[in-house]
Amino acid sequence: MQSVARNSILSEIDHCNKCGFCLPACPTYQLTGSELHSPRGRIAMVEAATRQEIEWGQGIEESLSYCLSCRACETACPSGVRYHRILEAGRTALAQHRPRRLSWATRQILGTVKHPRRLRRLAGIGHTFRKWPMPRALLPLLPLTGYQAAVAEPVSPISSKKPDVAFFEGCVMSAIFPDANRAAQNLLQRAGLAVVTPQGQGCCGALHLHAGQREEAVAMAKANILAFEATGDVLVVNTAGGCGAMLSEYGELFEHDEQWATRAQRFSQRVRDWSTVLRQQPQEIPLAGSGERVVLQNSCHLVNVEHAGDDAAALASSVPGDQFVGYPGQDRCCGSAGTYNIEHQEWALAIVTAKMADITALRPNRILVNNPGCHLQMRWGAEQAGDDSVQVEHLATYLERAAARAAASSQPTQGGSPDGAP
Amino acid sequence: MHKQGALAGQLDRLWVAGARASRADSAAVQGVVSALNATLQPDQVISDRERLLAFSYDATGERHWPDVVVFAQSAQEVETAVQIAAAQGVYILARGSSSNLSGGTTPVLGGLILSLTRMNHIRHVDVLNRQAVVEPGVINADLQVALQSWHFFYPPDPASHRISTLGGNVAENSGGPHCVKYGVTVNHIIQLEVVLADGRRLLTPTARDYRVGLDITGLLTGSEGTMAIVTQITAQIAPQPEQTATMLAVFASVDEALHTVSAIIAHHIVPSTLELLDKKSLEIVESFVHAGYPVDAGAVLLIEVDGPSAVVQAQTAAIADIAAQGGAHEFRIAQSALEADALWKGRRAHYGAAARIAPHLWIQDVTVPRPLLAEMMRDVIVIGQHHGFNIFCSAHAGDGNLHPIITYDPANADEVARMRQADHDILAACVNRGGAITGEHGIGIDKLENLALMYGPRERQTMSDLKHAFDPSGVLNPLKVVLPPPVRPSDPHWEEPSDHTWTPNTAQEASQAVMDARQAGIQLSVGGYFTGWAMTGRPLTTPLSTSHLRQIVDFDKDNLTVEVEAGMSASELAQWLRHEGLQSPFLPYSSPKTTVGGMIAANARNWRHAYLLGWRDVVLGVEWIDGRGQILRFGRKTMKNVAGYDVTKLAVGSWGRLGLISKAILRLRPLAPQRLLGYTQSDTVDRLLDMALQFGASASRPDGVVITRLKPGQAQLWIAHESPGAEPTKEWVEGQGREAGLTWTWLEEDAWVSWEDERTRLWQQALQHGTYAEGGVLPTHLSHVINRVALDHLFIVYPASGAYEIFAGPNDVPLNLEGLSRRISEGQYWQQPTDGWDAIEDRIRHVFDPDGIFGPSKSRT
Repeated sequence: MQSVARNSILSEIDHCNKCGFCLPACPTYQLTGSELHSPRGRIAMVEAATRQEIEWGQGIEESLSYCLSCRACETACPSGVRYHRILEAGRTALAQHRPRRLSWATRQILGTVKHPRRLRRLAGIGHTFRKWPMPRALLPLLPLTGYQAAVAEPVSPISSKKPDVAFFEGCVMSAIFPDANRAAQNLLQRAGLAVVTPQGQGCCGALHLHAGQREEAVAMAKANILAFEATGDVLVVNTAGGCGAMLSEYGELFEHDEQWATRAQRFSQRVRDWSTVLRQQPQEIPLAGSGERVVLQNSCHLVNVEHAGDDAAALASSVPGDQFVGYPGQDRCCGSAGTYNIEHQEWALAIVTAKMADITALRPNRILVNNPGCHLQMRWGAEQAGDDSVQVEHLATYLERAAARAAASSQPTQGGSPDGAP
Repeated sequence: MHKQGALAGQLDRLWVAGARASRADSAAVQGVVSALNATLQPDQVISDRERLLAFSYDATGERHWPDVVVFAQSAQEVETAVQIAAAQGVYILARGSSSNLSGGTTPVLGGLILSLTRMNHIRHVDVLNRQAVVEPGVINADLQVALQSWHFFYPPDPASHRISTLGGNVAENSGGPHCVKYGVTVNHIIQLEVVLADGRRLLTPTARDYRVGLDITGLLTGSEGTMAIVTQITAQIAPQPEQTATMLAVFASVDEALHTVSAIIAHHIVPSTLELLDKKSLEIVESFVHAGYPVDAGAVLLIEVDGPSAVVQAQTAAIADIAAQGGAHEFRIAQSALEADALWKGRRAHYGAAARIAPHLWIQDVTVPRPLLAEMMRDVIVIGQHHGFNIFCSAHAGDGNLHPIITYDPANADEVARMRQADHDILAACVNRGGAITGEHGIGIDKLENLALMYGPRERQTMSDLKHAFDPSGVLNPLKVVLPPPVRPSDPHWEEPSDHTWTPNTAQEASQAVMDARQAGIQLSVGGYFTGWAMTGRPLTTPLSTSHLRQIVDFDKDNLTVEVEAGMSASELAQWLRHEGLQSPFLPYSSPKTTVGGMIAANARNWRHAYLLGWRDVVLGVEWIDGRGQILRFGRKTMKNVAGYDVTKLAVGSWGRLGLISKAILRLRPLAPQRLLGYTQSDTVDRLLDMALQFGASASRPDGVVITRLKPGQAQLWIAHESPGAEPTKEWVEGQGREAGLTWTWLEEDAWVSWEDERTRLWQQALQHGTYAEGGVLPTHLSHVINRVALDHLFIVYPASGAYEIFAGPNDVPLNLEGLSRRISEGQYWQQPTDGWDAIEDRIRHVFDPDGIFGPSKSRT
């Protein structure tokens, strides 16, 4: 490790008092009870390797690679340790000392997300061939497949001079869950906001960064910053907690890049989750439920990085006629974690199985999500749990249906715009 | 030598041990690893050097390489692992969340780390018997959550309760903000299942008041994993109070705040929380969490009271007045749970906020008698200034427990050295104030060398010998809690027999008498007036009496403690305290020839405070004279003290086998001006028993409950209440009676005396002419016991603890009666054997009485 980087990471590590407050927040510690798989343990491993007390070898590789990067430990940490920086520094150093080839499946995903059309095709093919035996190498990709989006009709757009928000689509969201993006756009417009979707945007780069492909991530980030500079200083909204977190940390990604630091910082300051924007909008949208019990699987990055998990929960519980059931693990990682459920399928399954056990006990009709990874993971979890009565759905799609239902019932005879927009 | 490189910042701990300790050799470690791998699953054993690094530390921060890690999933696996490691002489350290702040789980000499995190099941919650049985890896907060649905709680809630395991709480004897009212961990641990250093798994004798044998549960609680490894915990739980009020009082200075603390105590209010933050803490906390604390204040008190709503309202109003008189310029009462939470937010954020202002922080933990807290805080500030630190404090003010925080940069060697010096000076200052160097964090490695500030070589040698009694080969958690002095202290100086007396007037005379007896080979029986000697089952040898030791040594009204000589009449002390508006829970009102020392040695039952575990909850310290004539002093007049082993616990129920108790420090409680005593009767005992069990599970319960059949065919359920709230308690009890069709008779307090006299008369009569039998079972099993007792037998049953006493004719009580612990019939003495503990009890006796002058060394059967 370079000595500047070494000192900067050791000074970050110095803030860790080893108090252990992170332990109950960490899903892998909960799963294993092992310090090696806890935030405090991973920090200790990076410290020891940095100080050359241990090798950058198998031990630290195991410790770091099983981290979900859910960042729940950062929220729990009383000392404000920026764990993700230590983790990333550790993973970067590890990649140098111990180059590791990602699995075929992960490489496919990292390649495909850059090409939304290919991604959409993969999801479609998956749907067709789902019931057929698949080659072994393709098996890890199964959870990605089989979702059939039912995209709502767009509500009539707000005709305003300039847009109020710029919409970030996200690669997986636009390829596999276009329904959620459309729903969020509709809701924002129902609330009186003009939405624009800038050209030239692409994948946020989070998957690449977390897989150690920093250069790829940086290139993607630059493209996005450029695309959204074109819209002026309006808020950048999106429907995926994971992407939102990455976008809101572009500033950090470029902090040592003189040319881009300010621009990235400025971009990141504009990033909001759609639910935050909608919740803060004074114009209330009438909603109507249908007697369902719903639970929320909050995106951990929305909760722990954007600190906006409360907005999602508030919206999820705002539908009259439905019953929202909160539970203690609502904000806890589902085990999806980017490509984690492909790289470490066994652990990802154990985590989602434990979560499904909690959720099943609540007997919900619907599990609401706000991140594509969580969406796929929770579907996989429900399937594994043999629970086909429960639907997994993006929060936006759920709310949009409730809004449409309310609009329809308030204007039963008119066939026109259900949005109530002026 | 097992080769493991040194880690950065690692202190050389080996010098402390001198030549006495070293790491296990690599062949031994290899043998252990192979044996473990052959027995356990691959994911249960870690033995490669790199992965072991993650187990080299705890929250104290020092790092040492362990040799192997095992994740035990059951008590059987703990047994197996201990057997394997002990056979090779490899050290064994139990580990939970490793959140301790004294290095208790740091593997100073390497060894096997026995992780108990996977043993995290709550086995059983039993509200009628008010106990929860849990595995050691259960997180404290998880137990609280599980108890909520029962409307119960587990009172000790250390600041780490969201992370720390109950096994760790037991090992450290953890405190927390609520122990000012409810006591610390040891006051709630009924029984432990432990694996000993020799690999045997045993249940400890119960801590309840029908225990025979020594209070091993009490001694092991707080022993920091150096004596045994806990594999299961039976904890006492309590019904949630009906109402809780949370208040914040704001003062211009720490002195004003602490005067208010004293005034609250002087007003006979025992809050459930009494926390203090000083000025700098407020600034730091407020800049971090915006809890709404005033930043220009000198100090704030966070106060909570709980209980019946009428009591809570009265106490809240009283505290508001007291605070105003004490100079509080602001006083807030939370109007909702949300507001209460907001008031707590600042206190909870203290550690975190402090951690953000500097790269590292060190949190100290000292306890002084509560009235000296202000002086102690001044000491801390001065010491800080002397060493160049701006130290700030939080305090569990109700307990006199202070947490000074020093922030520093670990990379700055000079600062680290000054921090350590300041740390040492704070401990020395605390000892000068009569305090304990740790109230709840433990000695571990951190204060190992500083224990000598508090305890002399004889006490440390005794503690060290006690460790040896449990762990003769020294494999459990080495170099923790206590080190023996470099040279074993020689016996006290003995000269030719002076004109000593068997009724000494001072501890020195008592010591001289013991030495004389030892020299002359005389067997001694120690006691006060020997009224209860028959209960020991031993012949009365030469009586060494405390009857001339009857002074009050120290009465600290503000601190709520009294230190008395052991021969003082218990009822006289009770009378005297009553004039001061105080009480000590277990003192009787009659029988002047019962001494305080005798009651402690006998762990005498008293039903008026039925939900305490016994004298162990009241005795804070003892002075005793052992079989060498050494005058030993354990404990302090502090509410919390985890410095070294809790040797005081061994005095309670020691029955004169470990020496002569010469002084005792007792914890006092305010005596409420209105008290309650009454009874109801029924022809069926079961009906009364059912009602008593329902009482126990309710927050509205009276303090004391007992069932008697003192005349044939006449069963009575008695209740007593001496805490605040006599009136609402009376109403509640009467309401319960109406539902059950029972009416209550209320008596004047004088009825105590006749109640106690009647019991004493029955007891003496049974001892002389019939059978006296006693024992204990789970409270819900008392019914089986009663139904086996003949109709004409008289008895007393204690439905809170499960104890029973039977007064019967000659040879009338069968030895197979459930839970029978002691039977004395026509001079024949029988006592329940202490299964599996005989060897350890003998070794403990040998520590205090090597020549067996207080009785033969073999345990009775």
